[in-house]
Amino acid sequence: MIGREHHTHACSHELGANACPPKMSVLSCHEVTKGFRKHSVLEGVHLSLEAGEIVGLLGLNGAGKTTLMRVITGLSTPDSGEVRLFGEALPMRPRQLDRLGAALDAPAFHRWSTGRAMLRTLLDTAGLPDGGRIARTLERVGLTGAADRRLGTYSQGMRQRLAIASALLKQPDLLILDEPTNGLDPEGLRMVRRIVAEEAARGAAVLVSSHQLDEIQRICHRVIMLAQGRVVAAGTLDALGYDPESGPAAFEDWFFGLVGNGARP
Amino acid sequence: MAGTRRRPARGEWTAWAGELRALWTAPVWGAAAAVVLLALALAVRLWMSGASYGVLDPSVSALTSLPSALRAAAWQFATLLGLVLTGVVVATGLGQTLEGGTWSALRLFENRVGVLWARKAGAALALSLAGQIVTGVLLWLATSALARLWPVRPRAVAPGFAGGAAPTPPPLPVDPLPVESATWGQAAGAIAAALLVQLLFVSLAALAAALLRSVIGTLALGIGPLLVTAPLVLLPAAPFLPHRWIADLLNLPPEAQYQLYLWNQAPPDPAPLTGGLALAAAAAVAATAAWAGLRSERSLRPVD
Amino acid sequence: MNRLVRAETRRLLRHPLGLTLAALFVLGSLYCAWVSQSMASYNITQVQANLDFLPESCDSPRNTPEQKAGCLAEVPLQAVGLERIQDRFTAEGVRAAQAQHPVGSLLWTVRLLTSVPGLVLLVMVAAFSVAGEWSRGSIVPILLYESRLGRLLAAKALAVWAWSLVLLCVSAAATAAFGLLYGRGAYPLPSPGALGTVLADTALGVLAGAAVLAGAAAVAVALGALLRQPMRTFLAGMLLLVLVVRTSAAPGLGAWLPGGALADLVGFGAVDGVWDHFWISTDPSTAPVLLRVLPTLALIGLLWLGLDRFNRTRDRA
Repeated sequence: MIGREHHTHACSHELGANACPPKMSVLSCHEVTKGFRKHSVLEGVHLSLEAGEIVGLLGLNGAGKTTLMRVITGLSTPDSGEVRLFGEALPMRPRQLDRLGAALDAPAFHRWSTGRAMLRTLLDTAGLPDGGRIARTLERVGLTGAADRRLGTYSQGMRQRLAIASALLKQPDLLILDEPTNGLDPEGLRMVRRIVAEEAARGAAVLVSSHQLDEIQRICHRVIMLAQGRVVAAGTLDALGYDPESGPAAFEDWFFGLVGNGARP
Repeated sequence: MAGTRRRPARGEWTAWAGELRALWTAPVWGAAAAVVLLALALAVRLWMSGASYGVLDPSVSALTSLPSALRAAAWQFATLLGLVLTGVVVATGLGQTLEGGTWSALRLFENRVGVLWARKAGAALALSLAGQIVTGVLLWLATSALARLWPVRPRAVAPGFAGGAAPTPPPLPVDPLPVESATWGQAAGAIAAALLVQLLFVSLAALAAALLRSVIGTLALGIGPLLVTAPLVLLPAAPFLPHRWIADLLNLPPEAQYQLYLWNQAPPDPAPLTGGLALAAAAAVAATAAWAGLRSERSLRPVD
Repeated sequence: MNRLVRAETRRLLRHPLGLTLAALFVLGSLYCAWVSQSMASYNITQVQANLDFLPESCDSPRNTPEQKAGCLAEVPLQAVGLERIQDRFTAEGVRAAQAQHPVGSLLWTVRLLTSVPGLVLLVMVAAFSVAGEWSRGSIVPILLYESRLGRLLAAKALAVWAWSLVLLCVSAAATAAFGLLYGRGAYPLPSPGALGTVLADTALGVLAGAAVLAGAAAVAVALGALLRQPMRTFLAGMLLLVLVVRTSAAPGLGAWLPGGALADLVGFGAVDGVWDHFWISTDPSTAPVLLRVLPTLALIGLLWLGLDRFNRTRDRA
């Protein structure tokens, strides 16, 4: 299983097997390599996502998760390899971008702007009409009451919610969330779970990275494990030899068993 | 299926309107208002100083005609005041976006950096055009009111004062004002030239923003190089400097220096076309460099 | 405190923005020196040529004997006029020649650094270094290590001051190198004076300039800490600078206001270059300049006191 993902697709117990949407390749990466100067960050990464599935991206700090997400979203250009979104190879075209939603890194928006104005700016940037979607999205992430407050007064959790809102704004067919639970309270964690499940049920593919192993365990159909820029394991938890009944501590042991201590040579 | 769902079409006008709306910030409007007020104050001061002698500099007396006032506004926006205003606009827009890391969020909604950059430059130029018109109209209204309150005659000059002809002693009183008005064609030409100059200013500031990714850095490197090299205009290197090209293209009258424009004293060149072409080339190079800088992955990382 | 100042100074000296601003100033100062030497040398040569030509100026074959006699009668008067111009040009030449002197270049540079261009740089550095801490959010971890905001701001002001002094030395060295290697040969100018005089003038000027830079750093840092946003700090600083320059010539009062006192303290008074065109104290005063500086010092003190009071009642981060 090392270096290649396992394509068995099983839906989580939360969604139930009957909720599985029809399969359709939304994203595929082939031999993606990326480095910064002499430092290699991604080495020959393969992966694919199908419509309606939720895939967790796991790895220690510096494993290459964020870089991989930046490559997929077209923000970074791979040194070699191919990324295909919705059947078309990158570089990204507007028709591909309109189907992609992403929240990457720490959200950093203009401090003097309000939450509503910030989302409006993002929609304007894409030249997309509002049509009530800003209000709906703000409601989904629980920011309706704070929508007209300046972002400088937002807490870390509220900024994180706004980042998730920015990812949902286009009703994407591929949703990419980089550590979406950072800074969120328990209610926020539940919100993220709910949103991810709703988006997958709607037919969107979701790629989510997190260090909250129990979250990944609860919401993802499959996991992809990165270590030192390589995919070291991919597939369903079941196929990778993890027993869902064995509890969070066992999941942690299982995780470290696969990725090692993450130290670079 | 998600992939076949009908999606709302992109509207370029929505994007442009959004870009203009994004200019609605306190620093931009504060700086724009300051530029307009300073331009007015300079003209009024010159009027009042002339009024005490009973004669006026023709460059100021001409402002009682709207085209002349618009031309004077274009001069201001193409020189120091316009340079500073552009610096503030780009620093608070693009500079802040890059400093805070919002640039990557925008790129997730529009990945064509050339389009994003063109919109931002277009919005800055639209603000400049609006500023020139507002300043021109206010100059015209202010000087028309002054002409009624302190009716003075303009000092007569030989035709073509813009070429630097020496003023002659005032002959008999000349009425009514003005003697040296611009035509509408000259006003439109000055505004178009000012927009070309502004494109150079915007491109330089955007390049600075892409390189330093900070608000203050954008101001410093966007405005600084033109100010720093200003003294060189007094050396034989002048024909190779943008300051000189700007003075040539706008045909800046030496008499109105530090009154209707704040710029160097480069002697005018009889061939403004050369200056215009050189400026256009410089603006194109700076705009391309800015585009390359904004496109780089480095621009996606906020600085400390 | 020492450690704070050292760390902050090191950061400013190495930061791309600090380096960019410094490079801009060094180049601008150098270009001003170049232009002022060129202009002063040209003016002196021209006026001397006119003086030399004056006795022959009546020898035109088209002049009738009467016209020639009238012309010759006017020569002494014209010579007096030209000599006056020559004196003025020579004085400007002496001033410009300081930029060709290894020590005098410090005096030449300090006058530019304490004028509009240098003060704009100080506001920019303070906007980045002080207001930027709040806008970037980096003030939080800093305050967790040094909770006394006043002490932190004082350290920042000292660091900005130290940065400006380093800039003064580097810029003066560049100007002196240009003047010695190229300027002296290309643009001959009168001597700036005996070495002792130049040393004494420079020492006084640099001392006064350093004091002005310290005051300016204190004001710029206080503005940054009050406004906490770089762009606002910059715009407020520019507004304050315009006020300082414009009020320097206010009749009866200008010499006691910051602009007039500063101009007299550092010794503005002649056009040194394109950058320094418009800041000359024109409000004469017989009172000693050290006395006239007191209101400015009081204003800076009040600003810091007000800042301290204000910071007690609002969130620190």
